[in-house]
Amino acid sequence: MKILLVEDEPQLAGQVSRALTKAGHHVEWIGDGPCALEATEREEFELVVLDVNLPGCDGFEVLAGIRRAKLPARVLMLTARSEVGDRVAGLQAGADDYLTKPFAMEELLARVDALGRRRGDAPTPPETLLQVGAIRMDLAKRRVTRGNERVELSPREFEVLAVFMQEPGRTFSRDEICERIWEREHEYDTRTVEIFIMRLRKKLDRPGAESVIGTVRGVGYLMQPSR
Amino acid sequence: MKKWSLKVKVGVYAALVTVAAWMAGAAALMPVLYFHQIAQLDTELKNDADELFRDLQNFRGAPGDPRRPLDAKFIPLSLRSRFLIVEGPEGQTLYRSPNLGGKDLGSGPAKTSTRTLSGEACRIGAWQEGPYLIRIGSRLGDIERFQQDLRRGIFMSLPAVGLVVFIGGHWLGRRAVAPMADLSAAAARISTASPQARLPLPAGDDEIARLTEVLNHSFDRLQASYQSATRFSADASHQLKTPVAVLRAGLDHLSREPGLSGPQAAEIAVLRQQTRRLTALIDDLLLLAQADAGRLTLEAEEIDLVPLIAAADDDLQALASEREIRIETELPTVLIAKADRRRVMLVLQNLIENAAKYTPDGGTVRLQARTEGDWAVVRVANSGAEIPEELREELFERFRRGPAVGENLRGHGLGLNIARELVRAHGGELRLTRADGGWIEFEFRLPAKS
Repeated sequence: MKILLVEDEPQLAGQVSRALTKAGHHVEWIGDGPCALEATEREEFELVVLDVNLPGCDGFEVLAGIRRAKLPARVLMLTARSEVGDRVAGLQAGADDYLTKPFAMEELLARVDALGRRRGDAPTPPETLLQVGAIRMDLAKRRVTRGNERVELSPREFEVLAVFMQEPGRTFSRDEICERIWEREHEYDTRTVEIFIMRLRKKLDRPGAESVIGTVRGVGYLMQPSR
Repeated sequence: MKKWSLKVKVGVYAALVTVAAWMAGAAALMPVLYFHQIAQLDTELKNDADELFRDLQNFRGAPGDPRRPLDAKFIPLSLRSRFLIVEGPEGQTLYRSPNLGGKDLGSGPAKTSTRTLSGEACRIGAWQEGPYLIRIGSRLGDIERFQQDLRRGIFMSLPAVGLVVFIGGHWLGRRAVAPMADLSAAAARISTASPQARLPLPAGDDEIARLTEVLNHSFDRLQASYQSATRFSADASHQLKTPVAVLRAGLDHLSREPGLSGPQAAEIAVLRQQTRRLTALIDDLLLLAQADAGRLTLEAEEIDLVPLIAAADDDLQALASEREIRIETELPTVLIAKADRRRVMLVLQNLIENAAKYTPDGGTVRLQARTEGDWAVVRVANSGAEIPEELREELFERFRRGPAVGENLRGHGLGLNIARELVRAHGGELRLTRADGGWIEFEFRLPAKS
């Protein structure tokens, strides 16, 4: 995918750009607002990864410029979480997605992929019925079944399982799971993630079979899609 | 009197001053009137005496001998109502009016004086002319009655005068403060939500207009410093988060390097966890800065708190699973509140984190929630040592940490302060409701309806 990265911090831009290139995307980096607007007019990008705080003019102005020019590019905004206003303003101004700083690189890559898939289509509502192997999950009714039997999960167990089932095959670090579920760091969170995963395995695994939630040593956990 | 509005005060003071002036005026006027009337009476008495002198000396049929007693017929009719004594050259009484009875009209010529005759105030004059001395007196009843009527009239008019002046003063006061009322209404509309609003300048160039100008200048200065403060907090957010994002991305990158040893991977995981703590701390500081600036934004909607409390309960179960802590929960099936989901979750997390941290092994944590009137009330309690009375409010202070059960407990001491700010931003309250008898209980309430 052809991506324009607008970020004034060169270090972060380098890291993001490296990760995106490694994932097979073509990345162009621009460090300020006015140049970013010029670039979008000059070339066609499929995706713009846009920081809010930019020299020259801020991310919202760039976004407004892109939308005014009716460019087909999708926009992923990078904001600071505490500014709830940023998030609301960003989505209202026509951003396709937002990510709060600091973010996990896997998260950024996953969002970029999701926006790539959505290209050209109307945004699809998120699936409410998920299935991985014998396990089915109804997000709306908050119900989980394995085969034909209902599995009772506690609220947090359900949320942890949902993270895996929404992206089967992806490895999640403990931190990332924490960020998804607790949003904000809590003293207890990484340890409790382990406890909830242990509890999930106890409820979902069949004796003798391989665990539903796999461990990737030193990295995190994943749910294999073809199981 | 402090509670009265300015216009009422103006009315009351005007009425009081007028009543006092009215009474002072009356106090000055009444003696003047009295002396005037007395002087008039004196003239009348003198005229009466002169008339009698003329009759006694020049009138046809006047008595020839000034030593012979006078016949009552000789006294003019107009003098019959007076007290009258006519004396001859040697002081012998020639006539004594019958209304005198045994009364004495005193002595001494050519003089008027007020005397009391058998309980009645009387004005008495004595004049000598030729061989005759005439003493003539009159009761002061009419004058005294007039004085009394006047006094009564003045007193009776006081309430009416006071009322009229009060109404007038109130009206004047209202007119005078009307621009003030406009000013205070306009000033009330100026808040952190609309800091650019200003007071409307009234027409004319009076004290009010000058006050308005001065106030507007103050608002300008306040707005400028407020804006730079909020810009600072927004900038600080970004400035602090970008380096953290760089750290985070670098650590993510490192963690995927092939051939990492176990300890290396563990080290990276610890560093990554630390960047998350740093982010949380930045978030907390910004949240407090926003709360202080009065611009803590909430996305409040009517939500059911029970799933949130159930999630917090779940966290608590996980937290307690490695320790000997008993958890008791009393939840209704539904608990509606007008609240911001993320913020309430933060409050709950801070409270249960606190409860778990300060509960000794073998202790209990209790989560309760219910509707009380217009409030959704949530209580988080744990067993623990008594908190001395004087330290209870301090718990909510920033960077303050309670005496912990174990040593080296993590946490930056903002949790309770943030929780309280968040609850207050909802229009609710967070309090420590119990801290004795081995039981610590925090309670927060959120409005059940909008």
